[in-house]
Amino acid sequence: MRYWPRALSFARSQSSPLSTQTGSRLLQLLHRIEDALLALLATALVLIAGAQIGARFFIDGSLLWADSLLKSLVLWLVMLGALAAARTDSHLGIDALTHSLGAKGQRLSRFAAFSFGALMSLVAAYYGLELVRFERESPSDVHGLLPSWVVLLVIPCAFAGMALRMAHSAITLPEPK
Amino acid sequence: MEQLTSLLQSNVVLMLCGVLLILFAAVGAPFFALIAAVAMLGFARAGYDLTGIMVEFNRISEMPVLVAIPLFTIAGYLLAESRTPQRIVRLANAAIGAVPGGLAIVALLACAAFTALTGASGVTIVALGAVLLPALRQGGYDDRFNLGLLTTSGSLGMLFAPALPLIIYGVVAQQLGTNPPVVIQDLFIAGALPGLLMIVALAIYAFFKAPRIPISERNRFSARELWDAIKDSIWELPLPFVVVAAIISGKVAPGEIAAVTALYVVFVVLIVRREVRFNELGRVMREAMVLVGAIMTILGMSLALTNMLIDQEIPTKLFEFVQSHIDSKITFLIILNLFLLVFGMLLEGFPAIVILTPLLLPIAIGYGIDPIHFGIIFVANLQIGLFLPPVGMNLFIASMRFKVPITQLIRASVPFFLILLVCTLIITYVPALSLGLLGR
Repeated sequence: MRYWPRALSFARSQSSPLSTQTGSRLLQLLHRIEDALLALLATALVLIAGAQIGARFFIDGSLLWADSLLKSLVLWLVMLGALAAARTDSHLGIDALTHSLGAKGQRLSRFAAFSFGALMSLVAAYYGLELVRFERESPSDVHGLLPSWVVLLVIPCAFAGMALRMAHSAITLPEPK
Repeated sequence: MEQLTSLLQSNVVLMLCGVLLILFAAVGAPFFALIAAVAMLGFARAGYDLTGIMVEFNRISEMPVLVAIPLFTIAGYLLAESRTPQRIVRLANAAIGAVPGGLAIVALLACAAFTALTGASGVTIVALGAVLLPALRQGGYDDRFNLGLLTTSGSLGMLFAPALPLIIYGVVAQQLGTNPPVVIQDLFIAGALPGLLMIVALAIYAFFKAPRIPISERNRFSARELWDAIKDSIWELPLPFVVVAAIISGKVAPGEIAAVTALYVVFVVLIVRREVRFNELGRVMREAMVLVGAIMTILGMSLALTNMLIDQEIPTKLFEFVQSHIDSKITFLIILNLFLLVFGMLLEGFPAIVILTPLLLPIAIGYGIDPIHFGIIFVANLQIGLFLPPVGMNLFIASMRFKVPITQLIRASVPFFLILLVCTLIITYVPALSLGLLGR
């Protein structure tokens, strides 16, 4: 988790490709929906995990549906969390070695780092889609509320979103925190 | 695809890819992308379908223990947002603040407890530093001592349950199918004494560095203040006892301990104390999940990497290579310590665990080191690495939090580093410290 700005010497970014008014408003709306979804799923995780252990200790039973639901929730939280991490450049990486570079060097290394991140995210999204296709042809988990391939869709979608965000980060300066 | 497979048989091409990846790592490319790239190269070289990487990645949703990571992180972030840090400090201060060096020991204990509960995510310095630094200054401690103490203490407690590094190590080690198997509850128990050793060693140092204050001017112990502090933290107090009791009982899985902890913390912070309002919940949850997403994408990709390494028999080859050069267990342990320290300086804790465990654990087992003991050695070394230059995360966090240049923090941390280094050596060469409680 980064609590310090990625590169302190950068000036505030003046314009980003999406800074037209409607664009940025849409983007803000998207961010709020993402945050709300994360909070909702995280709260659901706490409640369902709690209900499950309650069932085990107090009524000596187990909630069969809860098991597969919890697993799906973990996957969704991880992927949406990773997507949100790409929004704030919060993915973990070595960033101390570039501190001593000049402004130009920092910009170049930022471009290289995020382009690579975007490329690999795109590759992960592609093979994530393949995974969904395989799962659809031969489903492995039939206990869930939703078909398992629908649950897995979050993998390619989130990786594709991360690719977009990292590509955007590669060509823009970091937001001052 | 077949062309790629045959291209990757060439050692020159592989070396070139390696150099490129190291360059990308050096300029700050995300770890999950780097690990994915290595795994893909391995899969492609062996001629496997690359979808296998995502099949492995998806296993993060199939391991029951991993539900513990988001749950503990939620609990930790909520506690950090509440006034729990202040209450922990007040209680510890009321209990032992009157002893010489007591305030510094309070700082050590509070930081360790908090790091364990928040899963070693770096929030300790942010949450507790603001309370402890002014208190230490007011207590007449030397500022250099204060800064060193707080920078170091931010990573203290990584060896205590339910800190995430132990869980992550356990998950990765389980992939390797070791004998004896790595049980996460065992790791929790094994970490207790080594963690205590570190606290006691630092507490002794704090005792000698405490300002010499005439007895008449010292804080007096007040039973009334202690009682008030206990009443004040009545809701938080049961938490560590419940977690420890659950671990010792051995009947409760880490995921279940996490579920109870998270549910209890949500109940206390949101409903009883109301220190985090419902409309702030979205932000806190997002911050927690950003950390979870960042850690677990790395973990997911590393599952594919581990699978590839085992398939290519790389740990076995590495072991044969190491064994032909190093013949004694002691020499191996010395080199291991050096190696982990250097890697701890370059990599952050979580990536270091997922990358190095599959490579080093089989070698360590080959030298007769218990996998549980190895995990404790590993985390103890990483704990030191967290505040070593150039990339030690806590240096940056502390520098931001205390508004002090990093170089000053590095100098201030030197005595603490030496103490923890000695502790780590003891932990490494005295396996009984880790394994004694397990009866191994």
